[in-house]
Amino acid sequence: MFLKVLGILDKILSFIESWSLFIATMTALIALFVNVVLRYGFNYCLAWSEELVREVILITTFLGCSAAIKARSMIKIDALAQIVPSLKTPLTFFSHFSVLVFASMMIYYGWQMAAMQAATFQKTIILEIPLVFLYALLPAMGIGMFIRTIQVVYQDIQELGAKPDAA
Amino acid sequence: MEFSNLVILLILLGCMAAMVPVFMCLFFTSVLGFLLFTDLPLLLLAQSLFRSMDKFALVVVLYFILCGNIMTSGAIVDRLLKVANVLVSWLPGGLGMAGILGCGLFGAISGSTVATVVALGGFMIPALLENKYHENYTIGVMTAAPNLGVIIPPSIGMILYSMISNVSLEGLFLTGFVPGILMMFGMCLYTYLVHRKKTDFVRIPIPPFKDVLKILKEGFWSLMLPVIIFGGIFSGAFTANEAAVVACVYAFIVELFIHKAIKFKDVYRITVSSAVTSATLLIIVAGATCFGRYMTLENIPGKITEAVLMYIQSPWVFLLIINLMLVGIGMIMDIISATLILGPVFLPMLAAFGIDPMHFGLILTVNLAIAYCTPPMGVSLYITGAIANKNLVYVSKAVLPFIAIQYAVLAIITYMPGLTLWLPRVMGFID
Repeated sequence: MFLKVLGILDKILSFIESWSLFIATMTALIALFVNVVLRYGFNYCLAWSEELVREVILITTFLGCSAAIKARSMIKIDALAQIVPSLKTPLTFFSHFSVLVFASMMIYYGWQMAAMQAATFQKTIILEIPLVFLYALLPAMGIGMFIRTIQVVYQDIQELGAKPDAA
Repeated sequence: MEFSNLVILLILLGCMAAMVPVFMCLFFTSVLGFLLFTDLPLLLLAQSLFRSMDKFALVVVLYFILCGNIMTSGAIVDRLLKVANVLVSWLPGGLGMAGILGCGLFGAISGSTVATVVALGGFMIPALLENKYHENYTIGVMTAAPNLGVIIPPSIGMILYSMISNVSLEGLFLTGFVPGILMMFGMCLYTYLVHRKKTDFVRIPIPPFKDVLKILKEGFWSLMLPVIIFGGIFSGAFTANEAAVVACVYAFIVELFIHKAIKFKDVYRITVSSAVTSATLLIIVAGATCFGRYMTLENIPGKITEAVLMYIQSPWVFLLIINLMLVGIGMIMDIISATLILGPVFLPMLAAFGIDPMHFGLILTVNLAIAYCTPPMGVSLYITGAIANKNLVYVSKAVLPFIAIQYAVLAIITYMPGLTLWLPRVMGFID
């Protein structure tokens, strides 16, 4: 049952993360490129392109972090684990635990900040996007990272369980 | 050292040693600093984390990573290597020189050492071994030469340093050419001297002029990529951000329609993986911003500057100590984290020693790049070891002559600032 739920969550998260990252990156790429073309070709500039790009950076960074947990590509220093290989497993689990703490903090504080924006109805200057959507990226990142970490911990426990059998 | 600062340093080092992701080390240290030594709410840190990403300048990181990934997935790297081959492979040790030149050309488009090691190492190591180049030389050169990926602009380390120091990015990029070219020349000269009297490797004959022209024609579109990036930036046609975007669009068009090396479905995969890589780097900027906020509140950089000035008065000694420290740190910490953590600590000291922040940015980047392949902990040693199936001791010995050349170049640029700063000065990026 647990495995099935994790599998479904993985599919949903992967779909949301991948397509959000793709669409956001491509949209900013096209907007900035069109801006350069318009500036040289038509002596005209898109006023909203810079704001759009800033929002894209927020989206790609915060949602990308969740995807990075799944890909195990977060940058960390593994010097101690290389010097003392027996520490690798406990340190890996400690690292997962720290991600869970961080994710919980992001859900809690991110929610508070998004609620503040929702209450004050603030919007971005040019595109007039309600800031609550942008601030909601923080709790969204927290939820994504939390679920991804549970998946990764589960995989690691499975692998750990399989090792003595293999030996 | 004050007790509170010692506690903070120990928490930061403890988190890093415990394999906690670097940005979280910085965030948790700031959280504990806020809780233990200030009365400020933690919501401020969450606010800093969010606000730090709301910056237009960060886009350059995303798109230079995307550009590098398009190249490694398509045929641009292959064409660049063929051009490098046809130009120098007929010289004694020519194929090794082609590997160095290839790393330089790749570095002029990509901004990362790891990308260069993987992209070129995986290709050049088997090619050199097939041509009977000594294994020791092959592994050494293909471990050290990819440092050019970070030193020759565009470099992601330089981009982030320019953000934290407000130094002109275009000017900082210009400083990277001199050490990059000096290192390429030094490594090529060493290759020539090692191979000039040897006969036990395959010496490639001088290619006919017709073949040279054919390969240059095939590599034309790939060679135009650095021309577009640097021509655009330094002619004033684009900003560095726009250059990264134009380079991506150009690379996509070349790979999809001219080289036909990638398909439309690959565009999705490359874009998503680039966005994830960019996220893992940019989130460190967010962590460093939180940590920077705590450090500023406690005036930690000011206190460190005061302490340093009490014991060191000479800029020469200061630069020597900084360089030695950076080598140690750079071996265990990646260039992005080290730049973002150490940059704000060192920057306030520069004025007291009369060191130009642009010059210091270059020293920081070059030093951390070399440290990345310095034994015994440099990450590149492990990557090449994995590619070539060799142990750490073997790779460490093999890389020594090449990093000796690179450290010599570092010493030259450290103590001769005029050598690197004349180019940005001539182009008007420094007064």
